[in-house]
Amino acid sequence: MRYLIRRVLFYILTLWAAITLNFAIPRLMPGNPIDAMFARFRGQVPPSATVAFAKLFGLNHASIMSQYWTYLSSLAHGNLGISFSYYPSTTYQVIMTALPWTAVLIGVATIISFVVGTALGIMSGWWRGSWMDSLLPITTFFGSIPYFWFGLLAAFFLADQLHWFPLSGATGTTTPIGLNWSFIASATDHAILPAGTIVVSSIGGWMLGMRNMMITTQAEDYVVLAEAKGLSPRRIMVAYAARNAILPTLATFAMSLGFVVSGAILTEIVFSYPGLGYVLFQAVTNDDFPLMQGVFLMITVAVLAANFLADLAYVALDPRTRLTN
Amino acid sequence: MSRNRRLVSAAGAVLAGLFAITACSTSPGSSTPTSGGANHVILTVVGNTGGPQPRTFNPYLSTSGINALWGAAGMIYEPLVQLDAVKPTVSYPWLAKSWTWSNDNKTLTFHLRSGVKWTDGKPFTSADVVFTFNMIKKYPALNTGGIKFNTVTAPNPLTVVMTFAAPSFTQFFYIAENTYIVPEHIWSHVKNPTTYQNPHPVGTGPFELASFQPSTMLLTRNPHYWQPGLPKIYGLRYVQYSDNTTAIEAQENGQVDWAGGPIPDGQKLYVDRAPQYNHFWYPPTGIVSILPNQHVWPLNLTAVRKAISLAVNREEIDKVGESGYEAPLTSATGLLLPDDQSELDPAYQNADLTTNVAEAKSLLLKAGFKMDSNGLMALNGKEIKLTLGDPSGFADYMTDAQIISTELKKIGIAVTVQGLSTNGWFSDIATGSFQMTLMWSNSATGDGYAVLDSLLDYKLTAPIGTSASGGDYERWDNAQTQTFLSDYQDAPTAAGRQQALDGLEGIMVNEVPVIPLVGAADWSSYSTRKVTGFPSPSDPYDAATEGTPVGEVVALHLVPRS
Repeated sequence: MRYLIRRVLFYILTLWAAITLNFAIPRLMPGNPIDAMFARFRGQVPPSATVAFAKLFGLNHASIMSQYWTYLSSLAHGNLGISFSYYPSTTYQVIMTALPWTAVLIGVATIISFVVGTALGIMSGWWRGSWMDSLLPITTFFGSIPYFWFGLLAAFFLADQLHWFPLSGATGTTTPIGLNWSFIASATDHAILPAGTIVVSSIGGWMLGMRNMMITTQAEDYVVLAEAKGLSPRRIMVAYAARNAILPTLATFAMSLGFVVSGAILTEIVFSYPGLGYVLFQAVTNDDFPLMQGVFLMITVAVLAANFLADLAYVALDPRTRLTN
Repeated sequence: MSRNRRLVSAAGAVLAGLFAITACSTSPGSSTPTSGGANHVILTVVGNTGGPQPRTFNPYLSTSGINALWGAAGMIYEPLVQLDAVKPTVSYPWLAKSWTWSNDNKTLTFHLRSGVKWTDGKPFTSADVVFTFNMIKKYPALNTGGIKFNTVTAPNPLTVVMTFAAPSFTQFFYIAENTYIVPEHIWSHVKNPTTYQNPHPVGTGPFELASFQPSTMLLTRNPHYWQPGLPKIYGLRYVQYSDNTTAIEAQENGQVDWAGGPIPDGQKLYVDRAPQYNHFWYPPTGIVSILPNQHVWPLNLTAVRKAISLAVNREEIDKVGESGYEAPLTSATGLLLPDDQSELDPAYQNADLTTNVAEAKSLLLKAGFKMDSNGLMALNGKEIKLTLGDPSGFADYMTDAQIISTELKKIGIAVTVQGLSTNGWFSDIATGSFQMTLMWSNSATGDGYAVLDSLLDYKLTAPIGTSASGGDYERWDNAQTQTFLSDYQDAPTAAGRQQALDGLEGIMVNEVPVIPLVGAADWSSYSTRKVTGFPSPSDPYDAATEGTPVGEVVALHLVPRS
């Protein structure tokens, strides 16, 4: 219990630090939202609009401390403010338009990558020296190519040249969104390529980690005992070795689930996928402080929550963490 | 493989479920036939590119979905007067049938059209106009044109009288064309129009909202539109593309009928694919110039600016940098000829922009510069070394800058081209911490005064180090210029305005405060597969833009092919 209370206090402190950084970082960037607006509209808004924009965004010369307090108190009220670059849409509306795309695309890709990668790791660790070992350099190779480059190549060859997949977007432009087959088919069609590139580039990490843990576990006494008892090799692999080896990987998985909401920024930019990563990129381009803060806050909270869950899981799974000394 | 496919399909199903919960889409059942004879022609339109937009139809905010992504405010809402975007002297009476200036351009009277109805059936009257302008007066955040309203009144249901604190002739564009009239019976209940999302727009325009989703929306014909028999097309389907590459690809594949934005190598990749249908027309509405920072030596010397202007090859910039889409400017006055011919002072009829390297060199030598052993012009041992910065994302500007750098080398001026981030670049420009940059002028109105005002008016800028987002980023500070500008604003007659404009043209020719290069094009392209009647060089009734508010004029000219 003391352990849990300490963890909760730690999380509160981390959250405060993150929220404060969240406030500071956008304001340290060059430029300001009004300049960004003029750059964006390239002469299509009159010079006199400066005054109007300043009024609209409520940008006044209030001291940074008073801005900070306003920010904290509106956060406490669950108010993320109105986005500058999507004005008058609220930050919440913009995030909610993007979140489902990201959550499903990146979430599914992360889960597939984890499940397949871990399974491959278990098998290649168990049957080490077999042909499966040759998968390792291949997957690590794809993992080590800069993702941006890899994604662009995939988009160029598979979508632009071969036309196997749509080049960008999340669904056909005229497909109405709803629970119907044409939408599901279109969304799936658009998701395969971006999700595929994420899986291919991240699977190596899961596989390598799991394989190494399997090899370590195989030398453990309980595995030797299980073998001596004459249990089937399949049962030893799954129920004795893999079950113990997977513990550290599970913690990493919990964290990467937390990062799902940040969207894979690079994926979403390469494939123009309208998720949170794309929104964050737009927010940064337009000096949209409220939107940046909103997205960062989402990411922070999700990562902290996932971490906390991982902590809880550890407490449940590993008795040693319950000891206080 | 089959397993993976199932998983991904499951993902699609979850997505659909999530959207059913979060998205607020209007009745999907209201889909309309896309093909069904000439009476049912629906054009697919791409306004701007960007991410999906929440349902925001506030016509006054340039960032709300209807403007920032769809560019469709003008299809639903209408202004009092439509001005030709290419020839601003040409105007089309719209919700106002006629108008008169009086009292030294401090009073403006509009006579409204009768028989106009809002799409909810209520009649349009002068009360709506009065309400609209009083709202803009009350909320400076909506007054992007900076109109100095005094009073707005309606002596009768079809007349509106506005009085201004100062002569406001130059603001006619912002008053009459750039202000959409909204219904009083709806907007008077709005608590704060600056944050109002206006999810169910009611206007007087030729189209009304039929269905909406963050990534596509359908506007269909307003059956009670005041121009009888118009519009002839049934609807406009707006589609969202997150980036230009895919939008252009869709256009090249014939999936889009009408779009803004330039198409690189458009003749080959767009027009030649279906020469009988595909067209683009990029008339200039503003100008692109080199802004020389007046606080940087030797750009503060007129001789150096003149030499730079003589050294650059504008044809090369148009041909190589701008793919031939932005025609070289011909007049040193900065006016766009032949569109602005009527505004040109005959004295500067022959003040042509030409390339003459020898003359440029001799200008510098006359000013005391000497060519040194490095091949650079130097004054008292100080060489001319300058930087020319622009966003590295503006590919055309970067190519232009390289061309300029090569050409200035010939007259002994070393120019380093800097590629910057868009925000960093604009922030540098706004605070005056740059040496030279390529930039557009105000192209909102397209008339000569608006262009020169945005380039030269010191009132729009701020001292070096202070951020200025208005104009005159090069910090041109000249008493004579300010006199001409205020004379133009205050002049009670057209002759008086022309006299002041002549003065500004003289400043451009003799002092070269900025170096005009090429016209800034209004990008738009269209396919005549389904309809005819788009503007073209042979029928230039307006710009071909789908954007606001001009797009409405074009949409009303479109006739379905039978």
